[in-house]
Amino acid sequence: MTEALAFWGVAIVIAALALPLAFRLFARYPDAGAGLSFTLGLTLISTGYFLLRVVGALPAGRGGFIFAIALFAVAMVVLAVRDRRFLPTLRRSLRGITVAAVLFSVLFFGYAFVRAHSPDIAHTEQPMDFLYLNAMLVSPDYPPHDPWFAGENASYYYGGYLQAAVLTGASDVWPATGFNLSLAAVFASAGVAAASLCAALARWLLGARARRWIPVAAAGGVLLLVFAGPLASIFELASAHGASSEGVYTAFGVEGLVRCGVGAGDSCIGQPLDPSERWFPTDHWAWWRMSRMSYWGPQPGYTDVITEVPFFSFLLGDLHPHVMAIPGIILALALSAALWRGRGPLSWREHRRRPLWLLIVTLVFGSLAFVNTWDVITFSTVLFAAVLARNLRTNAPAPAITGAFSYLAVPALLALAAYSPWIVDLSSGSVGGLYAYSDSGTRIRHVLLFWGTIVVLSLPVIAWALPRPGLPIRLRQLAVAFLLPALPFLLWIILAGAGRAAGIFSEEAGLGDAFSSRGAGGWLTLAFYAAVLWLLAFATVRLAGRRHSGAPVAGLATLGLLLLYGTELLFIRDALFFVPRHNTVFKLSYQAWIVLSIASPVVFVAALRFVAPRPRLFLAAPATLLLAGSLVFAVTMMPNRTDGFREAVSLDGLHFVDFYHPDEYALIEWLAENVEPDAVVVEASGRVWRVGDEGQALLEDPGGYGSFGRVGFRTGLQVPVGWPGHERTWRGKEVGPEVDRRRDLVDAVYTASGPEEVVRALEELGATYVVVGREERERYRGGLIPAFETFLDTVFAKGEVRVYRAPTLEEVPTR
Amino acid sequence: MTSPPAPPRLPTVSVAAIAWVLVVALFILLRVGLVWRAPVGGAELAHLSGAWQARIGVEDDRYVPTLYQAVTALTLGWTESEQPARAIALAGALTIPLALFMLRRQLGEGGALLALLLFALDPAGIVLGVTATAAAWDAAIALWLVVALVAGRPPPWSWLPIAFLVATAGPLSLTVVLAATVSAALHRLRPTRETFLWGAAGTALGLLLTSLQFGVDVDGLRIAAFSLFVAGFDESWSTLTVAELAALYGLPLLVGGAAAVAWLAVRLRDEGRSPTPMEALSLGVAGIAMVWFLAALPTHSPFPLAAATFVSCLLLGPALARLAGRLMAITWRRESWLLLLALALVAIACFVLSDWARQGHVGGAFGRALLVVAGIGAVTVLTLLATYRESWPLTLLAPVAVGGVLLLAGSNGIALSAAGEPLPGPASPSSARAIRDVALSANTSGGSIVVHERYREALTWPFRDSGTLVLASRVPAGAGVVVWPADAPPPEGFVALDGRWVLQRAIDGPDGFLAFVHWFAERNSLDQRLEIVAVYVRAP
Repeated sequence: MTEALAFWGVAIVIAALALPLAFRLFARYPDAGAGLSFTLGLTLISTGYFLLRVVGALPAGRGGFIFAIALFAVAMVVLAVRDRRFLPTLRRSLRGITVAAVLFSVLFFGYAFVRAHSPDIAHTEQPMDFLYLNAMLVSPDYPPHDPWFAGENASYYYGGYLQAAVLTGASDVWPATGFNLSLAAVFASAGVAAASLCAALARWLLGARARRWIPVAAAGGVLLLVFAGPLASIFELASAHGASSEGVYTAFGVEGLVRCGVGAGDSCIGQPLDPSERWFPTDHWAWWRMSRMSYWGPQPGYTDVITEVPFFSFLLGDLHPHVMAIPGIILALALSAALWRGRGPLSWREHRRRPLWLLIVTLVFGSLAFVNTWDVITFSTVLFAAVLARNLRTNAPAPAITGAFSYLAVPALLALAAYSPWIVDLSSGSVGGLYAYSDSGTRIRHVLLFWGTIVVLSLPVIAWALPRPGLPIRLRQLAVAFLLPALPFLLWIILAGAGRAAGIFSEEAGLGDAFSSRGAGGWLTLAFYAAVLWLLAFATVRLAGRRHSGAPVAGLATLGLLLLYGTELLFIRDALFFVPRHNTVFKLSYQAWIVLSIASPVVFVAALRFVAPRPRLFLAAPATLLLAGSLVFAVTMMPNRTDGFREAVSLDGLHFVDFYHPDEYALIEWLAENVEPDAVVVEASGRVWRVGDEGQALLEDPGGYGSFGRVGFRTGLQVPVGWPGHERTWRGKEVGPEVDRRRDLVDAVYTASGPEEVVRALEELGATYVVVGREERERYRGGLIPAFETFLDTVFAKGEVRVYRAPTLEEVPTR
Repeated sequence: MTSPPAPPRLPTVSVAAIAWVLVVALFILLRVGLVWRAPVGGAELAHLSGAWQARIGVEDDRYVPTLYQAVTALTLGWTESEQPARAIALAGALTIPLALFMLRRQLGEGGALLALLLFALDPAGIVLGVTATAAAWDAAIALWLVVALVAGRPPPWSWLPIAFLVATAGPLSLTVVLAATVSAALHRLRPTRETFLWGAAGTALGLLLTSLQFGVDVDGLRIAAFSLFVAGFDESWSTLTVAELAALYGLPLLVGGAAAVAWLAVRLRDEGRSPTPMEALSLGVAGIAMVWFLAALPTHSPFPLAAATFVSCLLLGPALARLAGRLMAITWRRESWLLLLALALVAIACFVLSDWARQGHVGGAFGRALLVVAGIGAVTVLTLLATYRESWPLTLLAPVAVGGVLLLAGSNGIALSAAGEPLPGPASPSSARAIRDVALSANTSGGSIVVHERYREALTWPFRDSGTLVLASRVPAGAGVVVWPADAPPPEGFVALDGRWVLQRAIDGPDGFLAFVHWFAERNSLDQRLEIVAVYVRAP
């Protein structure tokens, strides 16, 4: 609890410190940007810390994080005392600030409470996330090292981990606890940022007289962004209670969720599970099925996509870049909206007048790439659209476009310079360009069961674009809007025609294959998306043309649909090419969820506001049902994840290690406390070896995922090699031979026949320490492990866990 | 008619001048002896080790490139003693009275004098002003920066050396720089173009030299103040935590400083005025130093405490002067009796507490009753005093008296028997150097002197100028003399030299409130931890 309070305290201090800046940027927001101030502050502090570390001005250590916060504090105090409007804004927005602080605190502690019931950092890619958090904390130099590939810098977008490290380091929290509290901070800051942006958009759209509707829009934003889930959860819940008619389930395309009972044979069309004995589904990880549509349909379905919603990520406890990016995305959207809302055309000259804006745009959008590179293209485009729309109010198209480009070119160049130390280490070896998608695509029923609520709730925006007296439909606007569905389709045809098309079962497809493989279901989905996209784009164009306050909301809804439509047509080839559009759908549909969950509550509240009371009821009732349906996921899966909130365990993500293997936990504590941050520690390579008939070491299993690499990810200390597959993904295939060489050397340490061989291998690896713990004893079986204690120093011993160090023998000059 | 010649005028000396002379004398007296007597310990041990490594050209994190640290490394080039470096540190500290003298207009004559008295008595200030830590000149540089900012109008060119000194100083001066930035923003002040250019040149020169580590090494941009600030959160520059150090040495100044800030805030509100530049700067430094101090409470560094007491002295001096003025105006009729009664009751309570502390446990019913009665009585009498509109300042006399006693106890302890104080710890005692001498003289076999790798950092200072040593975790074949942990098995083929060889000594903090009171009553009541080693020579 003390650690949670310290962590929360640091977060609140950062949010409070950033208020003067938020007031400057978001003066027109109802809360004056208080809901965005935490994200804003953390973005600037972490970037400042990064740059100070890179130039060597700050040494490693907890004090560096505090120092970065202190520098930011002084800058903010200077900003506040120089701003004559600071105190009036503070007084005017006190209520909004209080609401933001309370909402942040409730979400933070609420999430921490839930997470305390399942705190483990033990599955999926959590070890990798923990690895980067630790790397940010302990790396002796910056850019930070990659603990799973000793001697090399991290080659990944680690900005989010750096933000988590700022909070963890400054609050002096045990990193495994900091991991979980960072998740709580992301959850809370995402919620409060969504509330802030939704409130602002609603306020602009509805006007001051409809003030009472603003909290509804803000609450809707919070619910849809961080709590809502797929409607398919309703079927999951019904099935858990034995109410799963095969006919109904098949009609909705969710026959895979039918529970046939344990022991059901091949005739089972769904899951061989018994009905739940409690009110929520109790089978292990039932919530996992909501992120993989392949579980919904008949097996084998199309296994090429992951569609997560934020609540799923938080339930999983996924401190992954796409999750940590959520608050930053909303901040970027808020900045874009504020720029759109401002007066006067923008060009590069504006930066001379407002250098503060230049700095913020540079760092916020640069940070988008730093945290989750996938986001920078999408949301820089949004920024460009916002600036362009503003310029078009007063300028002709040509100067408006030129101005927008020149306005954004300066921060783009500055961002490249500021983040260049990170960019130069980023390997792009695994990215292979744009491809056309050539497969069956997503079924329309699944689209509706997943996206139904947020898509349907955003549709009323189309009504504002309908013809009215004095506002006829203009063909030019229709034609411009048509470009949005047409251009991606055209690109799809061109790419497929050029042979750059691929699907799960066809790696090199042509245009004909691409057309035929989609099937009727796929074309129906595409047609649905295209039609809705066209209508939304048309609404956006019409509203923007009238300088209507609904334009940004319509624009966000359009962007959401464009992202969903786009992922049905195109994808970016990456290291996961064996499941072609895997990452593209995963990353872009996540973006779509974020923008739609911001747009849809505002649109819907505006729709409610503008209709008469009776029709309002007819509108509100189904919408409430839809919203309730979306919340079924959160309500039923939280108890599933936490075993019915039976027992709050701890917030320590390594609590399970302490519980099951206390010696291993002591090992981690000892290593974290005693080993120099630049030392290289040898631990199991991940392969499994046994003794052959003639006493030789025989490879039994080349290894896959697992607990190996645990020293690296649990301490941030460098090990020769961690998860080989991930290193190949991050650094490209070229690194394969080096990975294998290192694994061979590590195996040589543990299977050596004599001390000389061990010492030679350690020297080649540049390693000083050798760990022998549970993992090593399981992977080097049958007495393969040499008697290290006879020729290395035993520096740690507890139970069966040992740490050995190469003997020290060095000459020390003293004069 | 001519008027008779005027009688020759005797030179007159004002009371203030006498007071200045006395306080400056006290300031010097409490420091001079430490140049010889203070043990090498805590931050000084680390930084002297770093300076020595820099002098012999070995890269070491303990060398933090402040100007003073570079000067220390220079002095170690011609003597292996720490005393010249300390004398240079003292020379810097001795400019503090002059700086305060120049701040008389801003602090008031009495305020400046009392501030100097507090600076003179501040235990943390005494130790860090005389010992050879990397931040030894910090307080002096910070104070002169205050003078330059608020008391004088130095010519623009003078900002070259000022900025240079600040850029090459430790973190304490940084608090003044940051506060000055805020204060300038508040008062909408901007340096003239010329001043800015001279200042920028001085800063650039300073940063260039710190980045070059004054010729020792180049490793990116190095800002000494940043490095010391950050390292203070992780390094063990003191046996005690900042919280413990504050309780033992800083409590009167910290509490007094906080009260002074509160009083200043009330006065600003009542008088409806903005703070003067001096007040604004002091408040800014107080805010920054307090955040630093609070964030660093669990760490082992004396610098956050020094920063907090530094600004407390600046704030408390004028506040005490103002309090003294209020006390002068009191008629002292019934108040004097009440005050005496309150002081007597406080004394009784203190007596009971110290008696318990000496015994190590809470006493019997009579003692408890006495403490309760004395405590309640003292509070009642002080409350009564506070109800008289004219005499409320008298209520502050009791805490001021208690604080003064604690402060005097601390400064006397440091000045007279620093070796027995936990502040400069862990210390490298003279016996550590003796181990080195014995090792050198006992190495008749011509083999190498081997030191266990556990003492990698501890050996730098006591074993300076000892040729080439071997650092090992196992005794190598060619060892002649072995310095090994006393609790480790003796190496084969070696015999131990008789003696109690103490390599390091640390004094632990008091364990509980009574132990804390006991320490004030009896300075030598704290436990010592000794790092005892064994010295082996090859058996004949």
